[in-house]
Order: sequence, then structure tokens, then C-alpha cells
Amino acid sequence: MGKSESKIEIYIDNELCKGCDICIELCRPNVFMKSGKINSRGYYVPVPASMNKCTGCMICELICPELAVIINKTGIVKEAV
Amino acid sequence: MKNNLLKYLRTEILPTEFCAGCGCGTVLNIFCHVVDEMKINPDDIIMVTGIGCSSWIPSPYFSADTLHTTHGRAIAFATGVKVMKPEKHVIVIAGDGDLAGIGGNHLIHAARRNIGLTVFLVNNYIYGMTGGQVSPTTPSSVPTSTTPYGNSEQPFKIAELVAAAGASYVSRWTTYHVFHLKKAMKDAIQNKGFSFVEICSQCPTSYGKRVGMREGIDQLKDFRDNSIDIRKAAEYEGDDIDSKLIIGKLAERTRPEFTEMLRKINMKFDEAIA
Repeated sequence: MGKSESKIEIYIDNELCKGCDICIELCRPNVFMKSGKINSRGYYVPVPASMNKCTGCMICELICPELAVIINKTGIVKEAV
Repeated sequence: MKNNLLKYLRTEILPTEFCAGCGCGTVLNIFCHVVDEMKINPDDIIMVTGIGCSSWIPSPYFSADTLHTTHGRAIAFATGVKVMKPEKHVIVIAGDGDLAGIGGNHLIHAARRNIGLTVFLVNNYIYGMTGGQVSPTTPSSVPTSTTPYGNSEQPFKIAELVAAAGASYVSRWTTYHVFHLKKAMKDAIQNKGFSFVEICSQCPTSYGKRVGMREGIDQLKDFRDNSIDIRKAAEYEGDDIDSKLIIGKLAERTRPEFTEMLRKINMKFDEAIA
């Protein structure tokens, strides 16, 4: 999903997501976008459309009510507190 | 790729039964992060809970030893567990109707005794599970199922109440302030005496629709815009501050812990008998 030069990768567990859009709305750099894809429960899941904007602040991973967003950070990026 | 934190959950019943955008899921998520980062073995945790939406966080989702008790009696059961097993982390996660309403007296007396429990009160301002009845924390003039023309009562300031009752750690955060909430949860688990975190949470289904915030995100933005840190609260005056949500650490103090005191007294008794 993530670009090859980016050290941050975002995974979304499509089967856990309930399409509440909290990650889309609260992401400051607007990484996420609503996709046209429907999961098996009928929710429109988000996609990390612009991965190069991601700062790795971890808000989406922490605030997701379904534990569906996973941020995989490798390398030097520090967690913002 | 699977989430590493799913090992702490009972995965056979996922996804959760919470409504889309519910804050209880966020509390579950942050609690899993806290357990993972503090490297606590789930076998050393005993979760105690009552009845309500937020009581679903430990039972059935979080995979540790769990007591799912009668309505309002979570702290009463947890007190018994802590006295018999003081080496375990006894953690209560329950709602405002459970701890502030029906079990209010248990809460203030546990705080007075300073027993080493960790209590996370998920405050969604309403009895969400049963259809949106007025709860002791519902703000004034908000319409609910049982007060269709507006709530005529004043809400409980539950964190201030627990701080005044003598708890050794008290703070209040919202589900919007995720990093602060994570830190507060860690502090509460590490603290020796009675530690209490009030987590203001969104309920889009029962509360949000009555105050014009139909989505979880609307209430999260409301928390963001209408909360002020306790360290800056002095800059605001009278009426301004009543409409705001004061967040932050309300109390941190050292007091003798109940189970230790109980053991000392018991040793004295044993010596007197001998």
C-alpha cells in the first residue's frame, strides 16, 4: 500500500472497519479517503490515498474504535506526543 | 497484516457490537496499547465491570480474567478481589450510569478508603444501552427519553467528587485526547492507591442525535473545541467555564493504601492473640 521510499505503512483491516470516518476527518494531513469498496458487512471502508503526506502521528491508530488501522513504522520516525 | 493487539482480545466475536463511531471502541483500543506498552501479562489483570455499553469493553472483548457483575456493583466486587489478591492489577471499566448513578456510593467509599483499584469511568452522558434515559451526568436542559422537554437537573462533576473523596490519582480526558488519555491510563495503573480516570466518550446513537451531533466525529470535534486544560482554567471566568469541559489531572497525592493498612491491623491482631 505504502510508497517504496516511505518508512511508514498504513494497513486497514477491511473486515473490522465500520465506516465511521473518524480517521478521515481527524487526520490533519488528509491521508485517508473514502473508497468505493464495500466490505462484507456493507460499510464503505477508507483507503490511505496519499501516503506521502503521512507524518506517522499515530492518531488514527489510537482513535480507531475497531482497532482496524495499523501503522507500521520502520526507521527513524518519532512518535508525536 | 493482522493487528498485533488482537492477541489481547477475544477475536472470535470481532468486530465489536458497538455502534459505528462509538467511543467505547477507542477506550478498548487505547487500553490494549497501554497493556502492550507496559508489558503487563493479561494473566495479572482482573477486569471487573457492571452493566452498560462500556461494560462490554472488558467483557467479552478484553481477554483477561473477568467479573461481569450486577448493575452498579462493579467496585463492590472489585474491592473483594483486591483484598484477597493485592498483587494483581484489579481494573474496573464501567459507565456513568453504573459507577456514578447506581453504584455512586461504592465509588465514593472506595475513594475514601484509597483501595488500590484502577477505575476507568466511560462517561457518555446517558444510559445508552437501554434507549437513552437521563443519567446523573446528563447536562442540564438536554432532552432524553425520560426528559423529552429537557433535563431539569444539574449534572454530577464525578471526577471532582472522587478527588474530594480522597482518591490518590484523579484525571479527566476525552476520547479525542488520545495521547493524554494513554498517559493517564498508564499513570493510573502504576499508581498504588485508588486511581480514577473519567473518560468523556461519544455516543452517537443515544446522546448525539438528541443534541444535534448524529455522527461520532461531530462529538469528537465538540470535545476538541469545548474542552480546556485545568492548568489554563484560571484564565476563564464564571459563566464561560460552566459551559466548558475541564480536562487534565485533578489530583495526585500519597495516602496510605487500604489493603496494606488492613494487613498491618491483622498482624497486630495476630500478635495480640499470641
